Amino acid sequence: MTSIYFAQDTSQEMKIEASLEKELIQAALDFDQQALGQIYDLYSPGLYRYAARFLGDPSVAEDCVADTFSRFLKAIRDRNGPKYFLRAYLHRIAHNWIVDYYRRTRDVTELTEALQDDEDSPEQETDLRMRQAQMRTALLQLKPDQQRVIGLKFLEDWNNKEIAQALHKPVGAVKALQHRALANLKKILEKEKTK
Amino acid sequence: MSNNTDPVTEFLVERRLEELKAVPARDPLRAASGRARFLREGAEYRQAISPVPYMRQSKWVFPLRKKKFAMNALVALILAASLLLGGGATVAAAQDDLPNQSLYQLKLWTENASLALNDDPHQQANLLMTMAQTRVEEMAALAEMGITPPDQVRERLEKHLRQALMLAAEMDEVTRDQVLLQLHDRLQGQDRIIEQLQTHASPETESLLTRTRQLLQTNLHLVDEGLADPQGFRNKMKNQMQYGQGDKGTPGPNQQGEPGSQQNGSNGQPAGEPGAGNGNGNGEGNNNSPGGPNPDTPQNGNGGNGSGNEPPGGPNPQNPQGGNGPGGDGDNK
Repeated sequence: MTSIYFAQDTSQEMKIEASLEKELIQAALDFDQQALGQIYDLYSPGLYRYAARFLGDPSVAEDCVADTFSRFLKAIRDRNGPKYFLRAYLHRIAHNWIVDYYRRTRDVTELTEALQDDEDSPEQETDLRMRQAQMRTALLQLKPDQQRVIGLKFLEDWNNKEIAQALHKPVGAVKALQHRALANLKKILEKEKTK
Repeated sequence: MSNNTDPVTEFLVERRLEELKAVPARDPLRAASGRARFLREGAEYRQAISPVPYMRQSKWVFPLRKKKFAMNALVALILAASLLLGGGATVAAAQDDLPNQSLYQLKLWTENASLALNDDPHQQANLLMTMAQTRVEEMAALAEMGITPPDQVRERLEKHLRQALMLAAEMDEVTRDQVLLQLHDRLQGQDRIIEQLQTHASPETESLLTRTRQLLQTNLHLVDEGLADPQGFRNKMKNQMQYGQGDKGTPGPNQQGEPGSQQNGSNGQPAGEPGAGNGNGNGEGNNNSPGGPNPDTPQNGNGGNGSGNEPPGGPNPQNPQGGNGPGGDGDNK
């Protein structure tokens, strides 16, 4: 049985200062190995958590993390990378990967069905996983910005200012987006319940 | 139904979301191998990269600039002649003319001349936004007079907006967002103007106004996409430019800024409309990147990440989604 834990959200990357991010980006432009290693160590745990929460599969979440960093390198190579807000940038790549993954595999329903047949898991855990799968399905029905605001606010505990930077929107717009997203999520969940 | 949430709703949904926070512990081996792979790739790029990166072309060439020299010379000549002949007052007088008035073509000329003479993309985008606003105001003025605005006005509006978006796509992140936010506000305002006109328009005018609103909303959608997914937006605009959908001729002063027939343009369709056509690529595509073939295109079944809009040379580094994710762009309102 897979071990489950509740991730600590006071993670190291939350405390990274913008100036350090800028320095890391500068060093990464030269593919400095030490800087790249630091970037990976700082951001990969958070990206993994984010991906695992959306994907529900640790192996796929690792693929997401690996591809996110790979795309980051390509962006740097093409002089197309971020100038600042590295964490937000990496989360954006990861989120797009997740959306693309679901689009390619379209296995959300299969996942739910598979969980129903999971006889080895204790009933309580199966129940939890079912609810998680339903929530992921619901989340993926939101618009991309709404997905991201929910993911960053409620799953990753980012504050509104950080989300505003990540989404390139004013804080007020983020709050409005969050309200819309919650309302829509509730509607989707209710609709699912009546099915 | 209102989109507002009450505290109870918020609490219940948040509680459900809390359940997602439980994530499987990370496999340290996978994490370490991911780190090693990342560093290895970085080292490969470091070796492969040319010593003079600034000499490598990292942007596509905006067609407006290709013709700039010839255009600038022509515009300068025409303006000089115009001023010498005492045309300054005429030019000024033309600025208030409507499409059905005699000096309207001169008005278009001067607009295009200002655009062609400007070298700064940000200012060009501002000019294009102003030109778009002028087109909408012309439509409004004609419609208020009970005259159906010619379709060319809408076509010009389409062209201005598309050019502004193409310029924005090429800008640095901060300027691009600034321009897109500005464009967003302008488009919303323009949409409101046209919406108001619709309430008392003749059937013929109504048809044009409806198409104009579609155009504005399509562009608004593109702007939102540009704000949410800058790289995808950039790729989309780049693709449009490559396939000749975007820039339908540079507005030189020797032209009338006609965007050509409606049929060969985006035809009111959202050039970047999300949908099945975008975002489901397989990571293939023409690899014309100077860096050679992409070493990382799909390799594990999950990394295809291609998009119909991928730039040559590899997957979109930021956003492979041309559309809006699974389930399309449902508003869920």
